[in-house]
Amino acid sequence: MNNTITLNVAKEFSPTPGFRTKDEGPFPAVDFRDKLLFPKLKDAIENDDILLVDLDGSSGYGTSFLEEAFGGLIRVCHLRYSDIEVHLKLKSEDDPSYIDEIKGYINDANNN
Amino acid sequence: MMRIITRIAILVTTFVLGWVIGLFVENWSWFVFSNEVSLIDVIALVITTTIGIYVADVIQGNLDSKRVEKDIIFGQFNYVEQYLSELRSEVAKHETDGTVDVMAKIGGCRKFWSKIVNMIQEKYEIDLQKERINPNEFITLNQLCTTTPIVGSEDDSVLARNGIVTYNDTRKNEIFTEIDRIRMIIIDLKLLINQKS
Repeated sequence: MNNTITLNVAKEFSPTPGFRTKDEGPFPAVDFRDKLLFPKLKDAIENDDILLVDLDGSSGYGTSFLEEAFGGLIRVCHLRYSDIEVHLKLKSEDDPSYIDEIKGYINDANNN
Repeated sequence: MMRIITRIAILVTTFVLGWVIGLFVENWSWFVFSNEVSLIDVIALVITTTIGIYVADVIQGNLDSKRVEKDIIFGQFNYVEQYLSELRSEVAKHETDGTVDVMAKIGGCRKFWSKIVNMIQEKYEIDLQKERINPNEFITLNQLCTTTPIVGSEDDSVLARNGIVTYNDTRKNEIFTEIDRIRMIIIDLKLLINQKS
């Protein structure tokens, strides 16, 4: 592994992330995934880097947001589970339970 | 444990003191009045008094410190309960004020719950599994409130449009039941913490 690149959701996307799609309201998961998460993770995979997604500092994350953003990496962006497992790291000191939750959504997307 | 030892010590001390005073009162002839004061007696009296005050101060300080710790933890519970009440009111409306409100209230609950679980593990060494305390207690509530359907699905339990969320009656009842379940857990946990010294 070369470098660790940090993506802070609250600072680089929004401190108030929304739901799943643009129709549902502001700051949807699809925007976060397509504009930030997927391009940065793709770069990290290609350059053998680590992408550290920092979840702290936001008001909270809905299930739809987490499922669409992270599960969508496999379901929509067609990344390989093994690549995500190696190159994506999560940080959530405010509420560490988000980490297990997100891993669950990635696993579910991989198994379906 | 410390509280029990302190109580026993106070009881024994009070009993012995009462007994000794009783003996003196009964036998006034034991008292001898003299105009001489022994230096050793004065020093012993000063040292005994100082130690007494110091020990009382330390024990009281220790008890105060533990009380403050518990008050801090109960304060965190108050935040969680406040968020739960606000969430219940929000979900009960025909249309919520906004997706952001719902998310922020559950997010607030989750942050404070995480803090509480860490604090009680650290301060009281509570076995979470034994006491059935789940650090991920709010995941189900989060799923009930914020799982909008994947595109193409006909599920209308939770619908969000332009930042406004609506829940059907079945989902509302599921959310209220889950909130009540968490409230019961909070009551049990408060009692458990209160019993800890």
